Amino acid sequence: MERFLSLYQNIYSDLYRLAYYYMGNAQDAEDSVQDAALSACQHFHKLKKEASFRSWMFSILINRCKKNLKKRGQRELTMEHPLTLCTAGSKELDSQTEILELLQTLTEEERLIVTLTVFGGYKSEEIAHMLHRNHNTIRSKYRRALQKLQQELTSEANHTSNSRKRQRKEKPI
Amino acid sequence: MKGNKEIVKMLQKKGEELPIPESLHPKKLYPILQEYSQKKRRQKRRFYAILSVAACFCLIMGLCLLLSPYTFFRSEDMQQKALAKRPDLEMPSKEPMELALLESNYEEIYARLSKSWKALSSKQEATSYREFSVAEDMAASASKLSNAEASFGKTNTQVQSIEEADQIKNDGRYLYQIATKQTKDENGTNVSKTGIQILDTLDGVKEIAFLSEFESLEEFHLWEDLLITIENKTYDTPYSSFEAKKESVQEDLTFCDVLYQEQAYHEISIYQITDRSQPKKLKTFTLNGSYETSRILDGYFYGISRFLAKPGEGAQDYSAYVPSVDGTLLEASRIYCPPEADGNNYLVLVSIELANPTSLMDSRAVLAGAGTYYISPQNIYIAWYLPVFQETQVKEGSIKDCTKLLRFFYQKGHFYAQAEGEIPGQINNCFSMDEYKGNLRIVSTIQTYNVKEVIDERTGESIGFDYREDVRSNALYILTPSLSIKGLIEGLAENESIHSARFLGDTGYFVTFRQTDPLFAADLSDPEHPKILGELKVSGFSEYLHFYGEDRLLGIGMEVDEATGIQKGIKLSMFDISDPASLQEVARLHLENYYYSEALWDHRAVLIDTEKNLFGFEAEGSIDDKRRKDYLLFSYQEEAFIQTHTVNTLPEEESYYCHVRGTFIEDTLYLLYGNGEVSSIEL
Repeated sequence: MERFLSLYQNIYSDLYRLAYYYMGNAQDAEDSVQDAALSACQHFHKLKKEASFRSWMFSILINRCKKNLKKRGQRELTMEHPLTLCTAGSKELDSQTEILELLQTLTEEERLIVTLTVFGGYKSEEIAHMLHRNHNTIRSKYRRALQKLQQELTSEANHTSNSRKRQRKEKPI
Repeated sequence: MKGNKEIVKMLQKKGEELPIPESLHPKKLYPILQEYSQKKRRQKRRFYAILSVAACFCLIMGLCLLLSPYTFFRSEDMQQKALAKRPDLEMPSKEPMELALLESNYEEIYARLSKSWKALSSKQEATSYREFSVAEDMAASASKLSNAEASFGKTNTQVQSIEEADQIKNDGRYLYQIATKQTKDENGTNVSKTGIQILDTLDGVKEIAFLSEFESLEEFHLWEDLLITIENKTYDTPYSSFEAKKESVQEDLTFCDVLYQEQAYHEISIYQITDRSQPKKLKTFTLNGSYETSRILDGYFYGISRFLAKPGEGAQDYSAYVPSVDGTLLEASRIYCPPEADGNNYLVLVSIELANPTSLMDSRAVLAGAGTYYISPQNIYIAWYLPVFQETQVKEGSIKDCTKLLRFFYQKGHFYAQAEGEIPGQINNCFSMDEYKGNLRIVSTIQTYNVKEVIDERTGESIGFDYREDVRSNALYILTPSLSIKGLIEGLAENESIHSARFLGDTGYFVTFRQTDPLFAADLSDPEHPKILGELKVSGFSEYLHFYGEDRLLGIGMEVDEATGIQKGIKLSMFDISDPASLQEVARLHLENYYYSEALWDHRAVLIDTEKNLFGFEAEGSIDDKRRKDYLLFSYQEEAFIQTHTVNTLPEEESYYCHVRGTFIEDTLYLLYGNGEVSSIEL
């Protein structure tokens, strides 16, 4: 368990970031990382190469996140006002909320690809293996996702009183 | 793309600012982990307890449901799956790795094809659809004076160790060529017969066999005591269906092309020629589609052909849209459909073990248009061009054309699809690609377009897109084995196009042209940071480059009037490449009376042996308005071209045309005429 924890220590922030931006919710992210860590720890002895720990851990986390997202969907919970449970300054909160909202404009898969790339540091080939997709598909989806984000940002910059943004906020919680 | 990078940076920055919950810290996690493992043990105990109390099966089920999803009973198999699917956790398998992109059944493929059939019929796509001419094969790489025993002319191949098919072959004693002979039948009418002529040169040249059972031979290979012939054929079509097809074919497609492709098949025949005068047919393989190119390496034949898929009678009409090889439909699992593939062409790869040519060893198909094929000793690279018009993503703004790449690893007759990728621009021919230390180096010409949506002023409807050509530029890319771009140089030689390229170890040379001929030398020793070493501007351009001796590079091309841009005949250039940073043209020969040569586009038409210091090709032109056709032979001495032989090859009968290829054995030059005649000249 000690060995597991020392390996875990190096990457848990990355794990959390991925879960947070992918799931769009601090509590769910925290739960998922914890769940993933627990099950990974149980099966740690099955891991043959410690060098693969990082990708192994990320794979487990993604599965866990997906499962929890499904569960959340079943409870008919849409995206909450994020970070309400987090203990950070309000200014920080605002900017993180914006990012979450921005990422919510992507489809779930796009969000996963973007977060895996940006926070997981994965290459499209690796993501392709992980998601069992062709790496070119992943690459083009990634590109498209970033274009989407770019468009979203510019349109938001153009309309300071963004009606679309407000609309999303008005969604029932 | 610049914006994209900024977004990634912004996300990363935000990520760093993100507060990480205390609860996830290893210190906080430790007790949870401990508690959990105890809990799990307890759960197990409880589980057995219930069993021992003879709980019924239903009860156990109920309990399982009660356990939260956090339980490990459920997550266990999921994680094992995750484990199994991570390639780095698996035991290294003996079989080379393959892309998992094969479709599972014909119907899925049909659905994919349906999209492109539909797209083809829409006007916008149809206008953009053009058959891109198949860039011709290859020629000898860095033939650095290696063939010690070589005293006869060999086919000029791109990669030295890989055999290419050709019109003529030479094994040091016997000469072979595709010839069309005119003979008269018993009624006195002219008949022409095409076949392979075998000539013995031992005591003067004499024909010992003429294999004339062919309709139209494309080319052939010679491998030890085997001849491998490739013949394109078409099925006979009744006239009525001819007319019916005519109507269904889009106007922009060349009707003949489509019909030809639909009807096309080709035969690969293998002849035993242990007795050169008695060729014996061993086997004929019939494949539908038309032949593109082939290679022989280490006793295996590798062939590439193109098959046009048709809608047929529907998804059950397999033979209409699934290529068949040697009489059997290709299995769906052997057909590779790249995710962004469009068009309705397959490329079909087959292999034959020449020692045992009874059946095809392997066959694969990939949904891809006709392309350029570069075959290295380990890999088959297929490159096909995507004109910008097919890009539907961009509605406005500047876009680039691009070339798709696919890499098949091949070994002992088996193909493994391993990587696909993409580079901007279009590649000139197979010489624009080169594999070195596992990396693929490519030069391409990129055309950018300004795209504008055209709106009908009255209705406000979109009526299509206007593509206006913008800047053209050239680039060099270095790709990893997974075909992702590792290093690049872009924005070279604005508004010029690449005409020829050649790579030698860590250096790449390429020629771009509009009015003058810059020869570029690029240092590729650091694949991530290629850089241009030198640039030399001379008049004219080179269409074919060949390393000549130690540090010379021969260019065969055209001379051009710099002021008017008018082509002024064939030109030979010799470049000194001893210092790539300061390239120099040390010799040039302007053959002002010759305007055309097959050598300008087919490297195999060039006879070249740098060790023997000779090279030659047939050229056509005119002197004082009189047509000329000569076989020209050159050598290079004391930094000057010497035209050693000029042999008139113009037939006496003006009407009859045949091309002439040259080869040599020891000190005799043989000129092989397409009509079956041979002449020999002492060198």
